[in-house]
Amino acid sequence: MSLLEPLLYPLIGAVAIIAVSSLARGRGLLYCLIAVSSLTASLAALLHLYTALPVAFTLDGFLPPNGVQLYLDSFGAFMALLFVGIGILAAAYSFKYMADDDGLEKYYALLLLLVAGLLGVAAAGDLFTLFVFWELMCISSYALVSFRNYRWEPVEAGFKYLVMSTVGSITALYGMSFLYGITGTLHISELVSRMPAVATPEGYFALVLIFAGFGVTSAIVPFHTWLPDAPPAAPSPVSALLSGVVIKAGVYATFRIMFTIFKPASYDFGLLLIVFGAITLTVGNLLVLPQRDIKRFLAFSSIANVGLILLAGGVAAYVLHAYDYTTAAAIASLALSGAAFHILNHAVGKGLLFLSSGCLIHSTGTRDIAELEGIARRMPWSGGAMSVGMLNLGGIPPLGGFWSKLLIMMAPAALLQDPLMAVCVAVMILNSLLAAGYYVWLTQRLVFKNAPAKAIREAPFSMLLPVVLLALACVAITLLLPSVIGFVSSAILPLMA
Amino acid sequence: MVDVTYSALLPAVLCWTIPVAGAFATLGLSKVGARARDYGAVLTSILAAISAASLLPLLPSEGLPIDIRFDWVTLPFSEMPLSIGAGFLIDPLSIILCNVVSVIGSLIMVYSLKYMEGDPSLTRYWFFMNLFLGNMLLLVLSDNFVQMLFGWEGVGVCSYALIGFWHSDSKEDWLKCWVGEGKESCPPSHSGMKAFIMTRFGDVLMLMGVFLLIVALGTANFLELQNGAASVAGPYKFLLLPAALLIFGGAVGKSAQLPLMEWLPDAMTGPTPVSALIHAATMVKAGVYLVARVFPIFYIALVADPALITFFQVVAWVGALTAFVAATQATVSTELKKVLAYSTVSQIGYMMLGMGVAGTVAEFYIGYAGGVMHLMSHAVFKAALFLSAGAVIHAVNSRFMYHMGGLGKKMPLTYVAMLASSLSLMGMPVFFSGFWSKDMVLESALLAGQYPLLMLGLLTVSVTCFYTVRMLGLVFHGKPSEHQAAEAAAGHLHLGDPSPKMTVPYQILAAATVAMGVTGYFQREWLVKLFAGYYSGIFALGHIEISEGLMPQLFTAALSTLFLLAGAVPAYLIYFRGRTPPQSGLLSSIRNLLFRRYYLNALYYALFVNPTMWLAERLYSAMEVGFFDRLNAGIAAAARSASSKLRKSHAGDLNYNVLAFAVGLALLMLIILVVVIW
Repeated sequence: MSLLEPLLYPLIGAVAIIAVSSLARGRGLLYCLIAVSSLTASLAALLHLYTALPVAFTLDGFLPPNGVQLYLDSFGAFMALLFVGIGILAAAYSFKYMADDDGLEKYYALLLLLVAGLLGVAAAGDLFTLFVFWELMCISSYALVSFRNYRWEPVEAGFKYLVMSTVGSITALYGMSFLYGITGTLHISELVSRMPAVATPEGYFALVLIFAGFGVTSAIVPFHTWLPDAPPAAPSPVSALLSGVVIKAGVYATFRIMFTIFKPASYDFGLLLIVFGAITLTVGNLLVLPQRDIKRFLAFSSIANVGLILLAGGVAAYVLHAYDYTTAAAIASLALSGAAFHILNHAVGKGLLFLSSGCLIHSTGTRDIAELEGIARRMPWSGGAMSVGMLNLGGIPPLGGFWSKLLIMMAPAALLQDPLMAVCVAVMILNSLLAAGYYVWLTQRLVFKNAPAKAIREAPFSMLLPVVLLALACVAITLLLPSVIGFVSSAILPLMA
Repeated sequence: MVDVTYSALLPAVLCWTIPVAGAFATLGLSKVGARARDYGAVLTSILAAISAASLLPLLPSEGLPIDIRFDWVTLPFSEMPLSIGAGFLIDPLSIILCNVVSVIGSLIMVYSLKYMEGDPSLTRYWFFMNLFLGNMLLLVLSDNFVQMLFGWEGVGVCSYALIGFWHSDSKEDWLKCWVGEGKESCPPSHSGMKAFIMTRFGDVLMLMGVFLLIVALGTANFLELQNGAASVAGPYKFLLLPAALLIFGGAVGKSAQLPLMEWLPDAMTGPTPVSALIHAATMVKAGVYLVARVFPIFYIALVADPALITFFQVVAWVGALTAFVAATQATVSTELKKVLAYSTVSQIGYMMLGMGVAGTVAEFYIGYAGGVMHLMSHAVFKAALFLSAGAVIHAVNSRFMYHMGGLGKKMPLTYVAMLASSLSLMGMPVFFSGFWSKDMVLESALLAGQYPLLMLGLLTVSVTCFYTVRMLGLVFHGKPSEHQAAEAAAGHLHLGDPSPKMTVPYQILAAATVAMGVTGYFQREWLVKLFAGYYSGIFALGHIEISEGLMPQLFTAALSTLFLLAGAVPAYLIYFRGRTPPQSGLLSSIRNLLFRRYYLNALYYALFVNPTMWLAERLYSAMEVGFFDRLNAGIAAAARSASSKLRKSHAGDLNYNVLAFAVGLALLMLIILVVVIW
């Protein structure tokens, strides 16, 4: 079993769908089956690899430090599992949701390419590979956002995403070129050892460029402007992927490069992450409040959650830089575990919310919250599952979102005498309040208002199944809390080295 | 010796699991159909009665007690290794009690079929009725305190839900489902709450008592407690008396004895079958059962700590005083069910009296058997009284006795049933069960030489007879009230005996009380032998020579008959013959005192309820409205204004978006410059 397999299956699947489509036109079910089975194969391969981490794959005759390499450690595997997991559910969900669309072979092929890109980012052993898969991910997601190109909104959103993301990619690439200039290699483990131990201005320059560049995809304010438009315009399964996992790929790449290449002990980027994290968190949360479009509502909440994850990373980087390692290690690993746990919670929760809101939109044809009031009374399964997701991300105990926010908050709270940490705690608490407020508010609107007068049918089974599975996953995360925390804290170990 | 096998003991488990399972089955059956649900619920209670009855053959057995035990919890880290088992104790007391509960309970369930017909919330009704029965049976059959508390609290919860069953507090039906008049009237939801909270006071005391007892004796199992009581270790000996008194606190709450009796008269807001169930078969009997259950423990412990005699004296005095006080209140009540409620409190006082007196003498078996026998006979005649009262209230659409009158001719079957059970309540000699059981309690007081208690008991007989005759006179004799005429004019009145589904249960019960009266003497002898024989083994006394003469019995009978007439005759003259009662200022102020319940109820409201509510309202307006609401509104307003300002920056123009990217990058550079230079 090689590391190539999980990556190869979705790529083969994408090619297979296109190939089959020339023989069997417009067979949504067939394409969907190919997509789901290739992703499932990929998941199985990943799970098989999971016991043997870290694993690497190189091409014969093209060896590092010059050649390309795939490399998967526990952090990458954690992300890869999330990517494929949400990918499978989104693909399965698409079968009914996209049933009335044309060009489904392109849709499923793009979906598989998107997941393949995500997997490649998680499994990249050098910055070149990372960038290639990054672009694969980005380009397929532009196309998916604009998939319903007969309407203006998706086209505009897709174009905006394209421009913003390209600017970001170029910036990040520019930053990587600096790294190459400093060390003469793009290979991550080589970079780690070759980077000078003392911070240099060129190093900082590279760091900022990479942070800003990947910041577009991870939707850090002020680079986030594509996100409020793209997921709402995209079909719901694509929104779930974008908001649930694509932006996490940005966070992953940022954390990976910052924590391993620019070590927090050498480069003082904690403040940077804290400032941008706090701004992102606050702006995201505040802008949720005026939204009437349920998907924009969720999109802004995604921005806020990325902000929280970034803030947690900032706290970790800050304590690792400012305090001696023995004090800092425990707090930093707490913060990073919290961040990883929140990545998990948000991926599952936001995936659930976008898919279940897709059910509502599919049945009612509207995204307006005012028109969706009391809808859960007509659609108890979708509405019930959605409530679980809303309460989860609202941080209502005992669901997982509460625990991950608590873990993140405990880290700076352990150093309250440090004014910066105290400010972090205050910002987190205030924002948790906002998040709890608007999610409970949304739950109340959707669930407890009087049911709409017109007859509305519950979503079909194949759409409900992924939604209910995700809701069960939310509950399962709560019930398996000790082992989940063990899992995430082992996942972030590569960042702590 | 009965062949005791597993299959013979299975009913002890089934007895309470069937109603509990039935309660949950009701929820499912309600989806099948209304008839399936109703008859299913009744069927489960009948099955419970059958399994209880199948324990009866064990009764005279020498093999008792049987304790079926399972391991449950072992408390770690405690100084004493305390292992709490789960289990079922089968002894004469639990067999008798579970039969009383389930047999009368199932008759009440049959009656409910018709009485509650058409109620929109029947699923809830059946659910809680069966759960109530199941919890009561669990309580009675448990072999240790901890498990018993589950049943105990379950009974409490179900009583809350059933007393407040008509929780919408409909003003239209206030003649039927409220309780009290004027300032002291209260709706069902209030009564349910009141019952729950007042019994909770007793429960807390009891819990403390149970803890003390566990500390003193190191176990929660009843049989082990009995065994350990004789040789309780020195340092913990002083805990026994407080433990006993605190546990009695639980009984006082549940059985509505002084000073925690105030919840029970108000509990009449529940549907009549609920009242019957609470008063006749379950709930209030739990307190008597508890005293009977701990009786052997403390009776044995008397050897180790003679101070425990105080416990038995307290039980006896509380019982006697409650019997008298509650009976006097019944004499002025205007509501039919409330008369019966006060009467229940009063009769339970007798049972407590019997139990208490029994503990002070060597011939404990007269008082103990008397208490248990009165429990049985009261359960039967009070159930009959309540069910027939329900029929009356159903017919005239009012709970007030001044809305009734002259019903004897129109509802003959109901009248006969009520008459028979009333005579039993009064203790009419020889043919009615109440006579035998009440006299046995009085006799035990006589034998113990407790003359003040005997006197109180006898006075209570007079008062009981007075209010019972008054009740019969007001309801069934005299002229029909104007209310009836008004109801008839409005077409709401359906005077007459109800359908057999309702009459048959209370006729069976009325017939049973007569049958128990006719066989009273043998029943008495049987119970005395049963308990004397059973406890002689437990108390390690060897064979007890049952010493009971005929003389005390005859003497008590003569005395009680005398007091019976002293109470019944004036009432007969006033309420049947229409004589004008004597008028005087003293009498009317006594009447007022009684009507206001000795101001005890008002006192509780003034001492506990009103200050608490006052404080809560102050806290609400100061903290909730004054501080938290404003804080919340402030946070919300701040967030809203910040978001509306921020929103202007998100116009969605791509040019500005790219510009924002550039600005962000510049900002980043700036931060880095600061960091690098600094």
